[in-house]
Parts: sequence; structure tokens; C-alpha cells
Amino acid sequence: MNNLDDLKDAMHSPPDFAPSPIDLGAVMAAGGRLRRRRRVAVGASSAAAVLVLLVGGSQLTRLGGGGSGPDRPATAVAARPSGPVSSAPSGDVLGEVITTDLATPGDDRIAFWFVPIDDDALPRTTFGLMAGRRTTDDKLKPEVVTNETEGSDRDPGFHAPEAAMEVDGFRSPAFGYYVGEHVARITVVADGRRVDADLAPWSRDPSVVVFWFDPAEVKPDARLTKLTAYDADGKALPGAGAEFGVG
Amino acid sequence: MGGRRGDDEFVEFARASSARLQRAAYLLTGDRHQAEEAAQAALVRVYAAWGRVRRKDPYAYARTVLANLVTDQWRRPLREYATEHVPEQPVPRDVADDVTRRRWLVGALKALSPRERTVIVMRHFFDITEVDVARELNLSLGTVKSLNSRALAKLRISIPSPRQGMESGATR
Repeated sequence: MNNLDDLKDAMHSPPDFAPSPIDLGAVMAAGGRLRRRRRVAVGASSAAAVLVLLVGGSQLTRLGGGGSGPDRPATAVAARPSGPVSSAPSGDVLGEVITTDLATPGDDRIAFWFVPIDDDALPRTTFGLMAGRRTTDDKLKPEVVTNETEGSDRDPGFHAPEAAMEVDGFRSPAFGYYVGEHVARITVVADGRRVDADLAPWSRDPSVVVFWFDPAEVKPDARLTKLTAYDADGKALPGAGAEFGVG
Repeated sequence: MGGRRGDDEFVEFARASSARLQRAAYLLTGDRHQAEEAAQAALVRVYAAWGRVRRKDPYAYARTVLANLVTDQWRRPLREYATEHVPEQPVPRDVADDVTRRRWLVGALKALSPRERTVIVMRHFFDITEVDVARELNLSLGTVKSLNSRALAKLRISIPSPRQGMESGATR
């Protein structure tokens, strides 16, 4: 036995330390809170609903659909006014609400907005991204929130991509956000087919770009690979290959 | 939709790995209670990310999280007991009993800088390659090599270098 073996031996059985049983129930409870969690609207009650003030049009960018291949630059940036916007009386909405053209069976619109996160266990996460619905009477109903759980919520790259899922009849698209100055296109390979995301910058910080995939193209059980962001020249940006979480 | 099955898999993983993670945390922190807390905190993060890491290498994820958690704590300058001076070995190794020597070696880890200690634990406790240590700690390979050799020198651990081996092998 040489000295290095002595060290390894000592490290594997330190004389004054014996592991304790870990309370896995507590671990899973805390982990569950940390998890990019799906949050079912609290009974769709009015308390959970947030009045949307119509302040102006948020920017919504639909990138050229159907293109395939990362070398194809983003095209057809068709800005579409999406009415909604703005902060709620409760302060639960950070910046403007992004309303998509995706409709629910009840004719609500699927919308995204940022929400504050304040959790001692996540010192570098200050906000999360909510997917919910904007009702026909201009209220917001939160459905699924996802947030960074490992590093800073503003590190360059993908954050908290969440797979498509159905929660109590709400079909949440696959979505997340990307941090980067030059992102012009985001794609994923869903069951072997490349699909373009819709993108919209956050009103509070245009380098934070929300992305989502049409649920008709990226279904809840789709196998998702090669999530990649590109600049306007078709050059892949950092963070490719980030994986989607569920639930 | 992680589901029961995912939870069952996590429980199995946590039971199988928690003792080792706690030992690593103890080596990294030098404190029993902090070790338990750090290992538990690492498992919390693993569970939070279980949907993504379960089919990859959850153990690698756990050790990286653990190392980063402890390193982050040190960055907050809680305490830093790095020193160039490692206590003298209490007895000559050929007569030292195992427990005494192990206690000295574990105690001597406290004399390393946090980064040296982390590299030593990753490289020689978890037994992963220098390349993997560099990747998991987000350090350059050269930095890992340098920290490892400096730490081993402080611990007065000598290992034959490949070059020495080759040269002696080529000697007539």
C-alpha cells in the first residue's frame, strides 16, 4: 500500500465520522418545492386570477416556420401585436405579459409572464416563467411555472425548458427561456423532426427570450432533443442540447 | 409527471448514494453537521432535477452539486483555513496504526485550500479522471493537475510520475 492508497483508504473510512440516515421525505419535499414545478391554478379562483391591464402591445416574434437546418437564418419576423400586457396589482407579473395565438378549448389564450421567485434555497433565482391563460375577460390564470434551479437565472443559455404537458385540461406547450443577446431562432428536434419555436423578448430585459413550441407540433409525449438557439446568421449559440423537464 | 416510478428510482438512488455523499461532504467541510446538511442539500437538488438526470448519470450530478454547494459556501467567506503548513505526521508510517494515520490524513485535508481539497476529493475519493474533475468543477485541466499535485505534495503523498517510471524502466 502506498501513500496514495493510504489517503484513499482514509477518505473512504474517516475514523471520526459515520453517515447518518437521511430523511428522504424531507429531501423530496424540499426538492419538490425546488423543482420547476407545475402549478395547477388554485381552483381557478379569482384569488389566483390576475387582472390584466391593457397597456400596449408586447413584442411577439414568429420566426420563419418550417425551415430546417441550423444554417438557415431566421426569416419572416412577423411581429404581431398581442394586446396584453402589464403589471398586476399584486405585483405577481414582472414586465409585460406575452399572449400567444394559441387558444384553449374555452377560447382563452395561452400566455406567458414572468413571476418573482423568492426562495432561500435558490439564491440566484429571482424570477420564474409562468405559462397560463389569458381569459376572454382579460384575466390571467396561472398554470405551470418553471424556473432555474441550478445556477443563476440570468446565465447565458437555456433555462428551465419544460416539456409539453396537459394539466387539468390545460395543454401547456413546451416552453422555457433563453438568455443571450443575439438569439434569433430556437429549434428542437421532436420525434426526429425539427420544429421552430416562437420567440418573444421579455420587456424588462430583451436578452431574456421566452420560447415555446406549438403543441400541435410538439406534443406532451414527444421525444425532444437538440434544443438549440441560433443567431441571425444561423450560428449556434451556447447551451445547445439542454434537456426538458416535466412536472 | 415524474410519477411514482421516478420517485421510487430516486429513493433507491438516494439510499445507495447518501452515505458516500455524506463522507465526501465531511471531507470537504471537515464538520459532521455541515456534512449532513450539504449531502442532504445535494440530494434535494438531485430530486429537483431528477426528470433530467435520472437517465444520465445522477451520481455524477450529485457529486458536482455537492462540490459546488460546498465551494459556494466557502466563497461566502465563512471560513478558509488554507495554509501551507500541514501538521507533522504523528508517527512514522511503518509503525503507525491505521486509525491514527487515517485520522491524520483526514485532518490534514483541512490544511488544504478549498479548491485543492475539492480536487482531491473528486479525484481520489470519487475516483474520477482529471478530465472529468475539470469538467465537473468547470476548471481547466491544467488547473486541476496543478491543484492535485500541490495538494498531494502538502499531504506528503508521493506517487511515481509516468515519466519517472518510463525513465527508470529504460535505465540499463
